[in-house]
Amino acid sequence: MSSTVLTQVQTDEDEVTPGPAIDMRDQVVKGQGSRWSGIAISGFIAIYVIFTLIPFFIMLTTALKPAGEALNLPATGDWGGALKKLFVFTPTFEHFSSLFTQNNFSKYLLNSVLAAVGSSVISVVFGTTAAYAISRGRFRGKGDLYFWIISTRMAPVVAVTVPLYAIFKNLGLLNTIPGLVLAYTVFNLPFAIWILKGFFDAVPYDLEEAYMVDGHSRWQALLKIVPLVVPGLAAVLVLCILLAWNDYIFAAVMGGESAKTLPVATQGLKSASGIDWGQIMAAGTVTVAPMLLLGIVIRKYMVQGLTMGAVKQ
Amino acid sequence: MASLTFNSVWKRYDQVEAVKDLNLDIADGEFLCLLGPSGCGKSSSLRMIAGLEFISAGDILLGGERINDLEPRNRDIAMVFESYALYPQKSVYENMANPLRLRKMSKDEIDRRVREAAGMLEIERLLDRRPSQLSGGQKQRVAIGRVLVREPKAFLFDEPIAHLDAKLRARMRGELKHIQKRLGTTTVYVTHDQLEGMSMADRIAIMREGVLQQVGTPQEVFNQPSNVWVATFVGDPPMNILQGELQGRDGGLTVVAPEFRIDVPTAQAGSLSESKLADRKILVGVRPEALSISSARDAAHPITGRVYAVQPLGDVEVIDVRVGNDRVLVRAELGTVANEDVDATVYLGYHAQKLHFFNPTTGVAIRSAATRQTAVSQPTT
Repeated sequence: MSSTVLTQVQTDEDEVTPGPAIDMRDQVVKGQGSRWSGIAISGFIAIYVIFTLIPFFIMLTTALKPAGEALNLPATGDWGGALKKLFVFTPTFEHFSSLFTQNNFSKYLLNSVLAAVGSSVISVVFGTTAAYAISRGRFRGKGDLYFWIISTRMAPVVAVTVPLYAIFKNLGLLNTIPGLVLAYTVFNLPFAIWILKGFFDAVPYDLEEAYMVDGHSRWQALLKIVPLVVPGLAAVLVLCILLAWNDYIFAAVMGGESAKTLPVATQGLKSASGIDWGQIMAAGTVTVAPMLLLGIVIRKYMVQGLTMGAVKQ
Repeated sequence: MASLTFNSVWKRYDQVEAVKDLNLDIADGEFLCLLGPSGCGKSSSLRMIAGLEFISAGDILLGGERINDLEPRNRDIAMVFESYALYPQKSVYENMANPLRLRKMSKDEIDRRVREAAGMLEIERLLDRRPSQLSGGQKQRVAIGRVLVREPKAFLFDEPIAHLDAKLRARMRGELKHIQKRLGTTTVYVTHDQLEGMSMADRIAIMREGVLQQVGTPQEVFNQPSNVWVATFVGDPPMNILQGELQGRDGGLTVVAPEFRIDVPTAQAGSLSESKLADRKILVGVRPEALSISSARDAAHPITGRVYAVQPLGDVEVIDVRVGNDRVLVRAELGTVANEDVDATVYLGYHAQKLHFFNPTTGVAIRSAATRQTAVSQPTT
């Protein structure tokens, strides 16, 4: 009889309780509501999607339309003609090619990439070490230091442009890519520290302690838990790239000609003689496309990365 | 395997003194329990041994050597954490093999040790699983397995079974004790559960608010508590403490209170009369097991009280009796008092040889020379 009691204890222990997430997801998918509310919601979403995508659609089509055809407006009341003009045209790549052959856009594209990626990598690397120190460290004034770091993001970027310009001028950093990288790091680094600290907080400290007791040094223990934070690192890296890529103010004020980035170059296409819509729209497409691609590629990890830090174990 | 010594160790967190002047000797191979409520400094003391906390003052010696300045990995200790701290990306096998891989052991040796430890803990079938696929009890065994594969100078346990259900805890108490006896490794075990300390340890070191209260075998701590706080902390249900005034009567001493009178046994009368008591006030302690209850008043049951509640516990029952304003718990055979007897008048008797006396101002126990125990006993193996 005693042996059966023992085996009973064994099996009770084996059961792994299923997580609640599965049940909750089922509930959401099934949903409950009348058909009308379903139709209304779908209708609203459809309108919103169209509203969001129309600017991109127009930008892309205008970039592909031959010169002059973009502003070829249909007669008033001619709805059929309007629709036709929206969708029917002979696409041409002349605007895109002119950007790169005549307007030096390959250089501007490279500048954007270097400045955005450079500052993001620096921000993430140093942001990781700083966030780790703030998350784990125990020292006087830590709370104040952390608040000061993230408070630098509270000030509008415009407010620091003039002083930053003066400093860069004295240091000879104007019109240089390194200068631009530094400028972007100014606002990317506090952001990275802020977000990454949350991710480190979500990793229990006794994991590193277990590594240290097992035989690793403190640095090795930190490296061991970095894989747990990698989704957060990736998300922050992408966000930093996005912020730096889309920046106009710093690039315009401090980039000059040698370090001109895509947003500034696009604006520069507006010449005194007139606006070449085809070319400008092509420039806009070139500016937007890399970020869109990036977003699509890491979409899955972005959500995971951004929400991971929110749930405390 | 080695001895462990605390020499006047202090731990301060800014202004807070978590551990105050701790002096403790742990013998080679001994199972010592650090017992106390939350915030008493037991975890801080354990983590100072591991090297996870700086030592504010004093020295800790492991195997006779001062380890204050050594990093955790160089101290040759293994630790089981309260939250298990298993490596989430590794399999159970890799979790247990990790400390051995760091020490550049041969693959065969690692495999042998991991499987041996897994066998001891009955987790062989789990070796390929990830921690997220394990139940709480299984995770805890893996955490213990990670510690068993090594042969360190000391095992450190930080409330390892706190988060398991009662039945599993009872089983693990036996298993941990068996493993420790079999391996003979010096073990320091931190817990707030006095039952774990009493059932598993060779000696218990009880701490309160950073100060060591008493060190002794479970027997010593239970039967000869050094102060009133230890007396009520160890033992379940806790010891009853009654207040009274010491008076001389018929050539002997009696503790007198409005509701009762307790005669002081002659053996202890001498030390009581010598001790300086403010206003001759005194505390009398008597464990629920040392009390008896009866419905009739007689010489053996002189104390009057009223039944407040009855808690049947299967084979015994604990009766909550109101004596004046005091609450007295009595342990008796099942069926002595029925649930309906609330407010019934009952009479209590006490075992004269099992009385404890405490100084109300200091809380320190007053003992006769014969039963007096020094506050810190010598280590036994």
